[in-house]
Amino acid sequence: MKIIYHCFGGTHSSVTAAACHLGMLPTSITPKNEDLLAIPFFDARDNHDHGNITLMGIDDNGNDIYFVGRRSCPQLLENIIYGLAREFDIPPHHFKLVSMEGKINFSMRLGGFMSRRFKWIYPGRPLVTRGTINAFTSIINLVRRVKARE
Amino acid sequence: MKKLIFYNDTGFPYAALAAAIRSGVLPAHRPPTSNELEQVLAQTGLGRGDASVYNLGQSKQGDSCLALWARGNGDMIGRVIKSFLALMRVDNYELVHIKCRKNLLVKTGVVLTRIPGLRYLGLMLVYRHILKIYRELKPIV
Repeated sequence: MKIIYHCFGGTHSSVTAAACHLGMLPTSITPKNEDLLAIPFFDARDNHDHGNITLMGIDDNGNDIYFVGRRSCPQLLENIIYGLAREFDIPPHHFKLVSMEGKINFSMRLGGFMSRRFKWIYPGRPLVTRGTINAFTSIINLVRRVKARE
Repeated sequence: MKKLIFYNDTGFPYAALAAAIRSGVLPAHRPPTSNELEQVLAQTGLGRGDASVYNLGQSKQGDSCLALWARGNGDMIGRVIKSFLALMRVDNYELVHIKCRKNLLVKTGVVLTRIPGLRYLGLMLVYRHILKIYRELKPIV
């Protein structure tokens, strides 16, 4: 199965969730700033990457783990993907879309916007990293639920 | 047989019209009548578009004609389609970006179609606009 985590920019919450899914981050303790900044693609994607479904890795069960940025349009992404799957006869159990909506806090929004949109790496990156650490529990809970349903 | 995916991001179903021309639902050799146009728009709606995928039938060559549209985010829509189909290892498709733009006539027409009693007038304005851009749409498909 292909599991696709999606969020606004495809560079913070979805990347963190994909990294958790693949065991790149500790699940029992809260990660440190350095742990998050060491994740590939974390706070590194721009506007022109939105919509590019990118492979993060393959989990222990052989599932391909992807992430994508879809701006503020989760419905648009879902309509395209489910519509194409229907027309191209792709079975629904071959992929799963996981929205990160509701797992993002104000620090992540503000820091992500500063860092990615305006390129204010400082103070944007420390702010979004702090926000991700604060949201880590809800992100890891979502990932656990996704893994449990496989 | 491949699938043709028409899409646009201007908030009007130009992609559906292009797909309908390609599949033969709308005539390619002459402008459509208002009834023919209304039949297609009844199927797809006149909304701004939420990127739902519509199947407008098959062309003479047997290619399926798909259409989707939204308001804005055209660059992202193209990337989502290409990357999703690539990761599913699908390559029997052709992506066609329709670049027609809305004008005041069609914007007014779409608003009027939502008002009870003025729907017919709204459809007439939309029809006038489609007649104008029909020549633009035909070479694309």
